[in-house]
Amino acid sequence: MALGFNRLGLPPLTDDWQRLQRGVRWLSRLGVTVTSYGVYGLGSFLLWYVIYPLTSPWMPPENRPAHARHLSFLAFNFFVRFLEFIGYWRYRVIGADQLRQPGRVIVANHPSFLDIVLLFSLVDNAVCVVKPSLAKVPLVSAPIRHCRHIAAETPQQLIADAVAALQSGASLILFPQGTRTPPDLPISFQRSAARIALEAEAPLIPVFFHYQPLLLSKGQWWYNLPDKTPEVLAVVDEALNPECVSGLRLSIASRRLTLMMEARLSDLEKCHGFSGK
Amino acid sequence: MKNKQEIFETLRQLFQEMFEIDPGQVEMETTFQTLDIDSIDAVDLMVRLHEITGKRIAPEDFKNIRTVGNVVEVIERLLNS
Repeated sequence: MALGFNRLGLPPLTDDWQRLQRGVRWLSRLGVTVTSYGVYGLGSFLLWYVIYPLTSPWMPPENRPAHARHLSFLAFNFFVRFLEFIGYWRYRVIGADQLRQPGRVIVANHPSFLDIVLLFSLVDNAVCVVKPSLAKVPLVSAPIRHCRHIAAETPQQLIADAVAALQSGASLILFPQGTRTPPDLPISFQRSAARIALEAEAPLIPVFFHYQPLLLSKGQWWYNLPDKTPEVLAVVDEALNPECVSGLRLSIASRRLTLMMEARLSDLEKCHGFSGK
Repeated sequence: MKNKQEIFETLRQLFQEMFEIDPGQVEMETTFQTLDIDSIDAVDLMVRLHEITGKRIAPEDFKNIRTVGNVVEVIERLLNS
């Protein structure tokens, strides 16, 4: 088309053509993004204000948190497939089997807000740690309360609650970087994850996330739309058993175990991460 | 363990024993952050100091601790009270 205009002696329109194409891509991306948020909001509302209130009263109170987590697992399982279907992302998971065993401490790097979405779709009976302030947000507070996600004010309380959750058979999802972290920074973990695994004698499962291009990272908002469909890769590593540092003092064992986890994640990054946009 | 210097030496030993921190790195003005001692470690240290001195460190005292020197001051005050 640009060539045709050129024959008429008009200035080349290649730039405008590319700009138009980019505009169309941006609009379709906006449509897909708005749809995904809408479905998420509507789905959360249906799940926690209609389905759960209908299903939970029939079971004994002690079984309700696991039931709520199972419903959440099914809902996220649908949601990640739906996101793929409408072209919000393309995702691939390597080694998902490792995440199906109960009572595991899942430790992942945290480049994007979407990490937890994918993990919730892979781990049945999953408990995660949330900021205490989130427990007051309307649509988010219901699942936090029903699934008994951990909203601890102090590290000591967090460890105690996490150990209790693991001993009840739930798996725990942790982002030991503490917050969403740019993927180009060296992996550095807080030690509470190791401490929890040691105290609960639960195996650690490292998970590495990679986004191409990155979206919903720290400082990226929902309207910062990527120019192409993001490809998401989640690599689940072999379990790391805290027994390998048994016999050491807890404070030293958690240091060793943290170093091992950091090394595992750095290795995964070397194998599966690639730089560039 | 009565004066500041003795308390400081005990702390240096404890840091090595509990957190594998080289005593050469530890000075009075060194912060916990520089030594990579987190809040969980700090609680472990408080428990250990309680075992050694037999005195309980008030939580509000512990909250204000930033440097090795701060711990030395708190312990000295406890032992001499």
